[in-house]
Amino acid sequence: MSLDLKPKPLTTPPADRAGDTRSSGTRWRRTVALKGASFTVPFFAGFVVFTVVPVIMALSKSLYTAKSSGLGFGDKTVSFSGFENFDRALHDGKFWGSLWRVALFAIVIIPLIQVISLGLALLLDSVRRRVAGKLRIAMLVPYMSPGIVATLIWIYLYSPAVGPLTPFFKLFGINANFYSSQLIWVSVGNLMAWGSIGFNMLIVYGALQAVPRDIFDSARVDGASEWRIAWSIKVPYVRRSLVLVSVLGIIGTLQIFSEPLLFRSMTPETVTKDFTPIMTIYNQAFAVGDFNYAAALSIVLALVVGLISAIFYKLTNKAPA
Amino acid sequence: MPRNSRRAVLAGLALCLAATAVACSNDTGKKSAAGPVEIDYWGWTDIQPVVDKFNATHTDIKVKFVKQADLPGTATALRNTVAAGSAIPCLAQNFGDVPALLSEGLLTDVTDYVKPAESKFNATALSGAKVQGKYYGIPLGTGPTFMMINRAAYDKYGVPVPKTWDDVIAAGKALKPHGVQVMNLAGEDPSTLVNLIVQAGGSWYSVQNDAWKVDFLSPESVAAANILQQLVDNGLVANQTYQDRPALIAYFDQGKMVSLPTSTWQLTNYELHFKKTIGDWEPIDLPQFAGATKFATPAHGNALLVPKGCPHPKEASEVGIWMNTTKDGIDATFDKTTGAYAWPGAMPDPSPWIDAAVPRKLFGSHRSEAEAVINKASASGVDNWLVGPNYTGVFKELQDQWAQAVTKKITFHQLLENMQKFTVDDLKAKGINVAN
Repeated sequence: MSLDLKPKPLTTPPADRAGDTRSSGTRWRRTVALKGASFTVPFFAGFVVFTVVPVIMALSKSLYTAKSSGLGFGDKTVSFSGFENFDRALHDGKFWGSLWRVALFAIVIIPLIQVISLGLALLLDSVRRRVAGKLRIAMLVPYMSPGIVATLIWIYLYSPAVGPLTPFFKLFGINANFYSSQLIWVSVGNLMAWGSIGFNMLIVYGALQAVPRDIFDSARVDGASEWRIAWSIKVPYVRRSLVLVSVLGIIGTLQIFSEPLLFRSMTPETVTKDFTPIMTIYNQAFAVGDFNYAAALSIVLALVVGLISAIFYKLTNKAPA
Repeated sequence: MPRNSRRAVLAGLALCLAATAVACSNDTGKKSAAGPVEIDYWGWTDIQPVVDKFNATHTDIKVKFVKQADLPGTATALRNTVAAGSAIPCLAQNFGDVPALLSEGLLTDVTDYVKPAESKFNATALSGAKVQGKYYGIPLGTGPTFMMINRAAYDKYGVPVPKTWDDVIAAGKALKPHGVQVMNLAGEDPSTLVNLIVQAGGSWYSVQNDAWKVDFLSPESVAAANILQQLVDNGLVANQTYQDRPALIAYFDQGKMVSLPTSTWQLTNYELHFKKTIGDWEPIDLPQFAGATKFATPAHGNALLVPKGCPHPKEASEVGIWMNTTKDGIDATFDKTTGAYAWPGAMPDPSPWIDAAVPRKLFGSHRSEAEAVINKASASGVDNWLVGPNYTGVFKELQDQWAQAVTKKITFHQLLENMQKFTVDDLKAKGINVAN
């Protein structure tokens, strides 16, 4: 069966009456538009079921509080408590502490990842296409491995007892404990960079490919060096892509969860249960059992992430001069 | 063509809905007109042979073992299914303390079926399945706690075998100059603290006139904290995580850590993986508190869970009681790889299964001592430990505090003070009565 995408009128319009032709044309266009729009149905169905509905449920849950009574073994009474959970969230030192911790991490790791991705993309852009194709795939391999698998691999590489990295650094007289509180963010950051640089590089590389090649030629004729071309032509052209991957980075980093959760199993002395905002929320929902408060925290986190991303986008997403 | 597609889509949807309806209506615990009652058992430990044995010897009840991925997976799946109110299993492997799970609304009252069978159980095992005198699961008891020491290392450095916890500290001080640590306190596992308090006969929670009294600073807790503080302050312990098993086993096997409070279920693991130190270990009585009048081991037990919404609690209890208190039930747990049985923690007399629980090579020439040590530990169990309804969250906080204490960021006394405040505040925030 082949998809027939060519627009077809539902009825054959009579050719002799001008008004009828117009109305059937409108109907025809509407049908085409509907057909086109119908391709988005699977996405919107998923979006509604897995995003909109949970958000509405979280909003409604966050406005209620479940209270026990007596010794706490009977059924809980759920009552409307307005913004009480949000008020508690605003004064929750552990939650804001975790957010601050992750924000500091993001300030360091996101620019670092972008710089490396940009550097790699520029390098790829400067080599021959066939070589670039092979390197591109190699760089994408870490991105292809699922986050949990990647974390497990690195956890074992980092392990001071059985991992190869500790003895390797010892060869140079460096006593590195990748689980220690001094190095834990370096360890997580390295893992994140390893996993995301390939993807970011690909986006930037894609943008670089779209730069008209004759600009480079005229720049060369004018005596510009390759460095100058990269800095003054290529980088401004890929600015929008860099903004995009940075915004994705901000959203992902502030919501970091699986990496620290797995690290926690190895080094609970360093990674506490409230280490990142999502871990705090997870603990409230599934250990403390307070879904209402967890819902309120989730909404606060979503607002903070949205706000930071919007500010970043506003400040950086300007067309190249 | 579009009409055909629409029909196909509608047919597909109808099929999906029908499939969903069938899936949803697949209720467990159902009883056909004349057939036996069906009981689903959810667990991550494979107990198929036990289930087969039960089904072969019973006609009125049929058990179906539903394998779960792991502990957290079972917990999540059970919470979801109880919340959904359908397809609820009648038995679930234990994944938490009974009072905490009861306060979550996950358990059902099975007092009417377990109470008449109390005499079949080891008396210490009963309290782990009870809340306020009522049973919410089948008592499982716990494994006997004793200590195994690397006797070769102790002898090499001329250190006497410890009888009290103070002796353990003294041994640690004597071993430290040789680069040997006396014990391991894993950063994620506060069970050493809890076990010391249980051994001392203490508890953090108690009930007073329909309210919880929280006492993290009881004499038993403070005594336990003092012992741990000395071990940590003097740098006598390692902090190897239990999560990284290969690393942990390799570390234990180096002869650099020489005493382990342990139980029968852990022995086969050491037997299978120790290479260098196999045969060097000796089972000894668990060290006691100095001045303790009676020999005691911590024996806080747990329960096989009967989830809320189980349509056949009577039959579920019958299955659970059979599994944990009959010779057939225990014998069916025999593991060919290790040659051991699941420890019969609920049985009044576990002695018939002790020999199989002791590995052949681990204890070398000291193997013959194991039976007496295990028997003594088993007969001296103490369980005054009571946990409150918010213990799941409290335990997570305890893990964080414990991690801070073993790495010297706070003292164990501060840990107890912090936990006292956290627990009281948490109970109050949940609207639960607190007597403090």
